[in-house]
Amino acid sequence: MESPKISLNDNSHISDNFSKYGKHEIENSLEFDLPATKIKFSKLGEGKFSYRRTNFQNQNVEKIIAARTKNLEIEIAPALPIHLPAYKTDFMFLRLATPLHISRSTSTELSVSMPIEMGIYTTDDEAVHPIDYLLCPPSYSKYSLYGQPEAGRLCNYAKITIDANEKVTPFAFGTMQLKIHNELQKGVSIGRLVFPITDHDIYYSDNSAVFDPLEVIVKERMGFEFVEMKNLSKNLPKWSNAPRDMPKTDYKFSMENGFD
Amino acid sequence: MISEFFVNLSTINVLGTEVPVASLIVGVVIMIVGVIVAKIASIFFKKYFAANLEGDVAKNLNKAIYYGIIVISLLAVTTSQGIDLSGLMVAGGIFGIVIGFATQSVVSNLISGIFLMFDRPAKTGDLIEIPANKIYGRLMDITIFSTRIKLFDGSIMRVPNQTVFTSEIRNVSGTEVRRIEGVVGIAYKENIDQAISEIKKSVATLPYVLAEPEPAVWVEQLADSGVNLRVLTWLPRDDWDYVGPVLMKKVKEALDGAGIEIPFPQRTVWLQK
Repeated sequence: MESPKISLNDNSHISDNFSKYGKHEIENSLEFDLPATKIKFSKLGEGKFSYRRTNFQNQNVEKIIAARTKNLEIEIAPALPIHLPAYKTDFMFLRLATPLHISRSTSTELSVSMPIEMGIYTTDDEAVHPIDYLLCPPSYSKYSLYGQPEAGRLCNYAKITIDANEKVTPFAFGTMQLKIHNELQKGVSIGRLVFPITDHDIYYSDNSAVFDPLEVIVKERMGFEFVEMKNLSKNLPKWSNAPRDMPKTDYKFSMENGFD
Repeated sequence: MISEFFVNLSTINVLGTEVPVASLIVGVVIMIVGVIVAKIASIFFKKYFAANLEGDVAKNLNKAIYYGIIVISLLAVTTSQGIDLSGLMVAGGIFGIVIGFATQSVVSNLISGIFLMFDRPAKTGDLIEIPANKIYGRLMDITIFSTRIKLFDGSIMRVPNQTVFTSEIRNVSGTEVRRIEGVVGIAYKENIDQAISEIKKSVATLPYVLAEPEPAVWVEQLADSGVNLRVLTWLPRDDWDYVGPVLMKKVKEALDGAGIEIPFPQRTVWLQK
């Protein structure tokens, strides 16, 4: 099998004007600038802090935080795109703006921009707890159905492009590597990818976010064509692992309702 | 004096059988123990087994265990007292016919309740509609005689099981998604394709409207005052509240924004001299 490799750009274009992902300790007050969004933590009293998020649409979120420690420890990190507008499903439906055609018995690797949410967490030695999830810049997230209405699966939805020259927008997207294998003796077109996103971890560094890779295997069994989805773990020693608020389920999932 | 009372009441005639009072006390004790055992079994079942079963299955099994132990206790009591139930059978047969006619609806509800528990047209928490009775709400429970449905005004509707069993039931929670629809009219002079495009674009911005299947708009009728367009959107089944009340508002805003006229009913009268 030949393995042509399509590489995505590096993240050198990321602006330095915005705050970066990471852990922070708040003594009195701290502000974060994110695309079209401002976040401010202020001390109200001993162990009490306020959290305020504002965006250009004047949508405000305010919370009072009672901290376990004298200073508030927080973490800003990319989060799985499943919390907004409300958590409904573990699955992600990626619609490829341009379908991908793979020749018979061929493997390829490519990177795609995966939408992310931003998570604001309080941290202590034992655990992290989410304070807020947001989209940067503010937008609306969507859902989609994979399969027929009477027996389909509800998924989170994003339309993505596969473009080697596309620049990944920080805070709005992370990068996911796809390893695609076509085991069939004929070429196939893939127009959508459905998989359990909650089985993937996200890693971050500065303003960049990377998902665990996804292995996509086009198979045939008894004349029935389907796509097997497997999540692969990524080894990024210098990157931080983003917090997650739900356990991995280790799904065994195949796209059996079409993939074009 | 009390001892005299018990001496006089040393035996009691129960269905033609002389049963000693002491034996009756034993029977009562057996019954009390039976009820306690039934309660304990029910509690144990709820604590250790119900969590692994589906809501309704767990509920029905729990009822079966509880009432099963009660019935076994009753049989144990009658057996321990040496009561011959054959007399009761004969008397009960005649009495049963009389009672049967008198409590026809009660028995009907009971049987319907049992059938509903097996048929399971919906499970607890499902959103159901009984169109014939104009009932729409969330199923709370199917008990022996009635079905309880929580309506959207917060009240609880008790519907006899017979009514539920013999009616058509629409279960809205049966699938992960549901569709809602609306109809809007545009003036005959307007461009239909433009109107459809504007409506689709606008409706698609609602976060709970599914991206796929995408919203559909088509011409439903060339009506008296305008062209009627039907708008169909899919959404997660439990999120009607986020789309239903604002869908047609969004459609009107889209048409207003594009300068497309929504006609009101009108009639042109021609006068000829």
